[in-house]
Amino acid sequence: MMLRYAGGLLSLILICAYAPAVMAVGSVSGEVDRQTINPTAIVIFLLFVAVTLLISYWASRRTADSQAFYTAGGKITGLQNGAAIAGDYMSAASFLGITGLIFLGGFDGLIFALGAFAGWPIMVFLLAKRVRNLGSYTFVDVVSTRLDRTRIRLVSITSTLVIVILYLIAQMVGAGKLIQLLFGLPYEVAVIGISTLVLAYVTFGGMLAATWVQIIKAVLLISGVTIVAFMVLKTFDFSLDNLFATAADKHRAGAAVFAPGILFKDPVQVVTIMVSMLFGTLGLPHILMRLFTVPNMYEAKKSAFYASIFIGYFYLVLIIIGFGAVALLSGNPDYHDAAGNLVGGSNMTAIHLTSAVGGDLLTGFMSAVSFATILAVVAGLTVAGAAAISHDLYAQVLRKGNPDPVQELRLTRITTVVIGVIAVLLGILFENENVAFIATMPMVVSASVNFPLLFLTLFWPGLTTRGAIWGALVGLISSVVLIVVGPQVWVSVLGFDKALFPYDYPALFTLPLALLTAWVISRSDSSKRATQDRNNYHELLLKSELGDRA
Amino acid sequence: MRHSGTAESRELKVEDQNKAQQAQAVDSKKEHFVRQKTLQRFGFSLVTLTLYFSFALNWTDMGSGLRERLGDTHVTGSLAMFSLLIILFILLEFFFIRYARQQEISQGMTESNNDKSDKSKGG
Repeated sequence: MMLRYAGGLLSLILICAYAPAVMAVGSVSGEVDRQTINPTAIVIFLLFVAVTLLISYWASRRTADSQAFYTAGGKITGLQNGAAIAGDYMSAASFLGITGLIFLGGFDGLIFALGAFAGWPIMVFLLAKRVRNLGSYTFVDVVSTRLDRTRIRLVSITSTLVIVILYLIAQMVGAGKLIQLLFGLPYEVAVIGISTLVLAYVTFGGMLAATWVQIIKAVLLISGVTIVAFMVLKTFDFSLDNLFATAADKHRAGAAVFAPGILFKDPVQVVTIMVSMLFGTLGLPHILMRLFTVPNMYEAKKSAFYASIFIGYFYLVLIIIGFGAVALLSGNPDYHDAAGNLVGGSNMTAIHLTSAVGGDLLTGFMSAVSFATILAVVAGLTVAGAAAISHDLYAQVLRKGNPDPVQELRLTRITTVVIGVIAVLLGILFENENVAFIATMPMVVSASVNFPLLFLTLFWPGLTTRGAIWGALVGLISSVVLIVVGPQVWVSVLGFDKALFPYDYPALFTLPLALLTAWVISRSDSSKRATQDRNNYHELLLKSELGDRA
Repeated sequence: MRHSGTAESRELKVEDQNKAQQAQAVDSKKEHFVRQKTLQRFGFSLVTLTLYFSFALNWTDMGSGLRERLGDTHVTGSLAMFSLLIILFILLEFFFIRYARQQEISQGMTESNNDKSDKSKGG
């Protein structure tokens, strides 16, 4: 059997988004045993690379200026953008990680699925149209519309870079382990290879290439999970009840596998995860940036809606896959070692299930899709990081909104390469580190810094620059501090017996703290700038809702 | 001559006043529309957030009923709630977009050709 992939690999992919839960149910190891090469996976993966490189070549001929680089010229349709958003957002962790969590903890694993999905309706209701109408390339454009451009941009750029870099580290480490496993390559070579591929896409093809990589990946992932779910249902004569009955028989918790309480018992812990996942999604810079790739506000709203459909479908299908894994893998000696543990750890669940229902061909396909998934996410992150430096910092702060277009594009490409190199270095540096906490931070920082900034800018007339800056700083510092003194760093990394703060995802506390700080400081701000900030709101409000008709 | 000059300036004044009133009316119509839309946005968001966080009830005593099986099936209330929430959220989005569009058309706030294709540059 080809499937003797080892443990650390997919744990590390999983941690890209769901680290704390994984930490709660199984170890995250940096060690990966090189496995028998799966030729199907390699062929499919190489095919994916060839097609996406061709697309990048095509895209590079259409990427002549910064607008084309950052937003694909704003010519992506709502449906295409919806698929690209789904491709950017649904990480390998979603497929591999949540399936593993359901396998171990049954229903509790679904918290992460609902949390990752529920940000999308709020995106449609509150943000999509207004963000699209006010911004040009990045969410930083939006928050700087009514506030002091230089100061607020510097704060927003900082949070964007923190999120992008932390996200990149987690993605690179996971991807390095995966390619090491699939190709038997040394970790360093794997990380460099990934970065080179992403740079080839992004440096030349910019957002247009990243968009198509993400669309292809979304189609492959959705098709893959659909096929796996179909095969699982086929095994149970297309009877969901048969499937569930078998799962209840096989799982150690019995029928309780379909009810909460196996992984999480404390409702506050559940709420902390829910807050971080939902509001974190709403502030992710690389996701928000996608709203600017469509021609108008209607397409922006539509693209968020289409993304919801893709993402919602994906998570619903994971119910079949997750409980299918419980039914087909639990106690199955083919997938367990002598000690009775699942070979490769719980994060290998999805791949084992794929092997059980679809053989080597489907397994190869899904392994390649998992890798394509990481490439798509890293491509999106790289564009967002490059835009933060070249557009937000250089063009808007240093050149006060009047950059030399040729120089800006050149800088964008150089920044892209620099980000790629940084990603490689950090990937190598963190190879054997416990990076679980690094993966938690982006969602928490996004929920505690970017979301409050964006929300207050759009919906509260009283916000001032000073209030926004203090709110963002308090959100950022409190997030980092609470994660450090929380179980993931204080206990798992630093080795203390007990955490000073009991929760892995502190956004339940840091988000309100950031909002409160921004409110208090803004209310007490009587500066000249504050009056201007408040007066700017009316115009912003009309423009955000009506666009050019304001 | 003087008399006709005064009449002309009066006419101009009236015209200006009319224009200003019209502009004010348009502005107030826009403001009313934006206020309405903002309330609508908060309304839909509030419903979504309430439903979303009610999912945490599954882990409390208040939600113990959700942990029970539905009839003879193995599906629990919790599992049904998860699936229904995802479907419900998508439906809410659908109705929001549809309703917003209808409202814009009925209030004459549909997009101009410029809005359809323009993309402003710069920050």
